[in-house]
Amino acid sequence: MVNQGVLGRTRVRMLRPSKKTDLGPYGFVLPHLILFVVFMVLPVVAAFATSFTDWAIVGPVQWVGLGNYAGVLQDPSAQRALRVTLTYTVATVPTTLVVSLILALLVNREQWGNSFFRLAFFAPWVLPSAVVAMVWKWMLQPGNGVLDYYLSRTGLISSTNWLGNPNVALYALAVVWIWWSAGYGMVIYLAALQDIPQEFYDAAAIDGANGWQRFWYITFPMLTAATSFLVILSTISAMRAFDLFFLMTQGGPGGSTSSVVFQIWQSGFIENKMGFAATMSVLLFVAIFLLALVEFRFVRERAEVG
Amino acid sequence: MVQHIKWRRFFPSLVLWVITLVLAILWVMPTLWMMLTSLKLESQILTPTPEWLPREITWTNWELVFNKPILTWYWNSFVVAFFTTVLTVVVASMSGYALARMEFRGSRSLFLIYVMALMIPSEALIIPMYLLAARSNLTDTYTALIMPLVASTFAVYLFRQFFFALPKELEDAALIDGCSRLGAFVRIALPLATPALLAVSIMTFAFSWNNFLWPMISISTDASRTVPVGIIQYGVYGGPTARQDWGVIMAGMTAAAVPNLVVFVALQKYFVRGVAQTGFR
Repeated sequence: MVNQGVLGRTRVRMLRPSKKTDLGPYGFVLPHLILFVVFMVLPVVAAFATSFTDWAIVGPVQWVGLGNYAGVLQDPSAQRALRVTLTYTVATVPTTLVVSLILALLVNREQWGNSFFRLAFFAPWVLPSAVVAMVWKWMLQPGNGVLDYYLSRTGLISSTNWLGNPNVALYALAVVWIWWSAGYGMVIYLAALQDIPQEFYDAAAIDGANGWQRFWYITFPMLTAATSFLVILSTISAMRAFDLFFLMTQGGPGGSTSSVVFQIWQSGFIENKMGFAATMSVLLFVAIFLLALVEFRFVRERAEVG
Repeated sequence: MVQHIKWRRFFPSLVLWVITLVLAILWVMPTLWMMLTSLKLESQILTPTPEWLPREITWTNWELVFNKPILTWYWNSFVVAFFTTVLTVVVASMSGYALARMEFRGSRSLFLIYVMALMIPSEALIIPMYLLAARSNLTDTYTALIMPLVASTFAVYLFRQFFFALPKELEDAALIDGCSRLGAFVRIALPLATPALLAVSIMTFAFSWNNFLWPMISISTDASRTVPVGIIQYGVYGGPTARQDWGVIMAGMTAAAVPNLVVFVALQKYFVRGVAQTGFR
């Protein structure tokens, strides 16, 4: 400010803080906060409130207290929904992770066609669920469908009603899910792989480590952060799964693909038991919340120790 | 002798490449099959042995696709996704900036609440949201589709982490010179936030476009539907008692898939960056 002369004085005048056009911190935060309260906090409160009633869209609302909770915990379809979702989660999370990692390792090399490969593996992720569902439903048609045809021709598997067989349907959905979402994990792993300094591998090569040892002692440990993130994300995604269950099998056959969210939808919108559905929603909410909390703590501990 | 050694070193690489190629073809096959089926006559679709190429290219399936207001669905999807993205970027960047840069009473608690809100599954809220929307006459509206997504805290979290890591010097210099906080935000911080802006925009747009459960529940008139919800009607084309006409279904699916794929291929760099950023903790 000292040697600014005429220009300096003009500059100071132009940049005087004009309190009228400034926004305090609350001004910055308020717009989103209002939306957050109205469209997130309010529904959460409403969910809890409704779970204590027997609301059924039409008709008077009666306070039921913990009756719904007792009802849900004893209800066979709710218990089945829990089993279905847990089985599905256990089936998809590790498999998707492994597939994503394998794909990432394969495309991390310098080879001809890499951009095509990466596009091919990730592309399903941008498709709407209805497209994924109908295309696979068509391919899994017994006899007529492309996949069923080629699988039965290998002689290892006979033509199966993949989506109509209660023992198989859930796993068929798991395969579709892997096709749909492995590309996402691949991108995450790819980014993590490319962060590993080449020097580590060079040093290991000098020490005489072979490919498998290099993977197990360098690559794998360096992927811990990415793996933890993907485990959390996939677990929560699997517990929230709805679209494929609704579009491909409608919860059947025999309820073998009736996931928790599907059951919530069914109770609320088909059976018109809103209070019951709200109770299941609250339980799902609490379960996922606790799970995410536990996994966060676990990740943070490992990060601090490791 | 030399040839023999070269081949042995080359071989594993080749094997891996072939494996990758096979996997990539398997991955692409369903989409390809979908597109080819849409161009076939029903008689060819129902043959017991699958035939890949259409015997002759038929457009009848596609004509039937446009019997439904698919263009309206496209418009709806676009409007909803566009405004969701714009609003999210605006309010989330402001919130993220304030939480990262400005210390005010309750800022730590607020951020903690926002982080915890990340763990709330939207599927658990569809029941109360539907009840609230029905009572406020907001079903079948753009608002009902846009606002819940803008209320999400994911973008706020990303922006906050980004601004936190951004060096403060430039903004501090501006503030000392008498610039307002808002000015510093708009003229300095935002232009530097391009990576975060791109990541949030792409992820938000894609998520809004492909959103299924809530739009299916909250919208009941065909004219207000979005693409992912509208196209399921092709699955029951001809009424619930009619056989499924796979040609029409596949044409409808192709119509929904192609724009997404085209945009993805065109913007693939940003998609990949956007996804990678979400894993950036």
